[in-house]
Amino acid sequence: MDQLTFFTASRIVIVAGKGGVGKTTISAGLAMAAAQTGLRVLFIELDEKPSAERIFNCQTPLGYEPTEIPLVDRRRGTGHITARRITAAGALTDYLNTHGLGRVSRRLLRTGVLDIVATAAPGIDDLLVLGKIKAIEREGIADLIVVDGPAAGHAISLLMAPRALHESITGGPIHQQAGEILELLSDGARCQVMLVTLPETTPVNELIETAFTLEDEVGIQLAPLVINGVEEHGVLAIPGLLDPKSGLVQAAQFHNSRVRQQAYEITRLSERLAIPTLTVPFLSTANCDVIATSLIEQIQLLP
Amino acid sequence: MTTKSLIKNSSIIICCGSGGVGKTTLSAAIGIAAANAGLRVVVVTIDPAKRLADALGLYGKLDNEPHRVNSAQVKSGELWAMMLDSQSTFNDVIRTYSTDNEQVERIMTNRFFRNISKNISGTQEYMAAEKLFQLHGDKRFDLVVIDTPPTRDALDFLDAPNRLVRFLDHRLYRILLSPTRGGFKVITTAMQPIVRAIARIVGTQALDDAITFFRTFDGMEDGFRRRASEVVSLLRSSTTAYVVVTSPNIESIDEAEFFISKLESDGLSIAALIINRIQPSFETNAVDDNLELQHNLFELNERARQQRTNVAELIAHVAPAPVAYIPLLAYDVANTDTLGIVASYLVGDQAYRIG
Repeated sequence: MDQLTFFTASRIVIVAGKGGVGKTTISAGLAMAAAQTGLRVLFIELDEKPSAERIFNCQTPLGYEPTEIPLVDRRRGTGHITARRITAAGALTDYLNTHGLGRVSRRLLRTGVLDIVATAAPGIDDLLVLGKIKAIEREGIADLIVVDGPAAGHAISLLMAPRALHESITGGPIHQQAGEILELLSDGARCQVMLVTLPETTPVNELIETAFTLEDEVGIQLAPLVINGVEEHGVLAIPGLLDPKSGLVQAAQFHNSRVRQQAYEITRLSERLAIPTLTVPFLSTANCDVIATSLIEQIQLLP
Repeated sequence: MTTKSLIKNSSIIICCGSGGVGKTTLSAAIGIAAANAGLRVVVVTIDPAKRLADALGLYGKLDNEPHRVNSAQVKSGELWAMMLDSQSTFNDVIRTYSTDNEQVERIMTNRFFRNISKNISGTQEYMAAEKLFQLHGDKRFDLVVIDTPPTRDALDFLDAPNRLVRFLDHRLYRILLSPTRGGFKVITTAMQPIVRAIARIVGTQALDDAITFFRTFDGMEDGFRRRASEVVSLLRSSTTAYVVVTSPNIESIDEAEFFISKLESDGLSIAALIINRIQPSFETNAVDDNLELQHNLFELNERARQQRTNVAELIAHVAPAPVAYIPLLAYDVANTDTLGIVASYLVGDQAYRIG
């Protein structure tokens, strides 16, 4: 597949996966690959932890307002990445400010009322965040919006919040907002979810479960899956003459058994889910340029 | 202090760490190690992937009650395990503090309650803390081991009991509960601008549901408040040990650092650090010139070296807390036999070359 076709298939890509699978690294690599394809990319971080800053080699912490990410390798003219961190509190202040409630908003935040509101209508913080992403998509300032989704199982509750709110609150601004977000989530040309996993049992199980839940209960379209941390070298031949106790043989056996385990999980995943996959090799340190390169290679291999 | 003596001297062990580092696996391994030290231990898991629960013999027993685990790996003591079910724990809590059955019924059917007891962040943490409290008081057990829910902020768990108290203490709550003559709608429109602002955001219906919930809840908050403060003092007790689990990659080390500093700023300290799935290193006294195998040996040892560099600072930070290393195993940890191996690394019965 042509990489431009791949990156313009949908305006928003939400990257989701169990903790520890390298979700942020893959999101950053994806943003980088799209920028190298010549697209204007907006990278949105939802997590509080500063991993995105580290991966982008960004000196200042990402805030609510967009920051330009310096690209080491700009291969195509207009391609660039801006990044921002969207929190529910930031989105609420923003919403209130644009609705002429600026003074109230400062008070709401100071007194911890957001906490109470979030409890009064659970999922409202998720709705605020998704609502902001929807508003950014409408502005059309980015060709591709890459969202580094929340950790662990929270991605599901984030994406299920609009339906729950739409059904439990039958009128008013929340109902309307939730309805518009549902429309966005169910339109594959506007929004897709990219699931990331490691070739290991528990993350693969969780990915399969998440994939079914997202398709069945949210009706969201899935982008190709990413299998991260795949060993580059296959099974090594171990000559019988070598001392089985030597480090050389022990290391080779260790490698082989991991490779076999990974292959087993990759096969199992492909049997359970008929979704194209991109594989990213094991890297000792997170490097989004290397990931971008391997993603582009893999995308070109897609039918 | 060693991880072995830590297990013997604690009445509660709380496993913390970011998602995917193996908290659930390590909780179960701690359970096996504790049972083998002669203790009667219960492991509370909240593992959403039920595979480990199956490995512990909890298959089909997701009823929020402890079940005895029978395994050849448990040579003395008693190992019990249970899956936390937040919803039924919450229902139990409501039953405990309600004044009559009618109140229970009204709360259970309230939309707001159903919302907060389902997926809302904080509820699972609060219920885990509540369950911990119940099990701690249960005479059948000497030690309770629990893995914290995979949240964005691991400290939510510590904060969860207080959250409800803050909620009850909040001015807004009193505003919502203040007596009215004209019904709920009047409150939401005629009261302070802050309430109007909220109504404008969430809609009057959500607010009405909340008000109904709080009105129904009336009379129960003292019980809740008392229990919350008991849970908090239990979480701060000297025999409650916080064990931080991390993998040797930078991202999860960052989170472990963040969590430890938060614990410290809260006046608590880390009891032990577990570095899970660290790449083992191999002897390099090879006598063969097989390039492919040499390259592999070099590559794995290089990963091992890199990971040891990654964790060095964290280890220095947590000193004198003991550190346990669980090597990355060439096979999957998914049954009590492999959990037993992890347990033996954990308490140092099985030597592991840190290299």
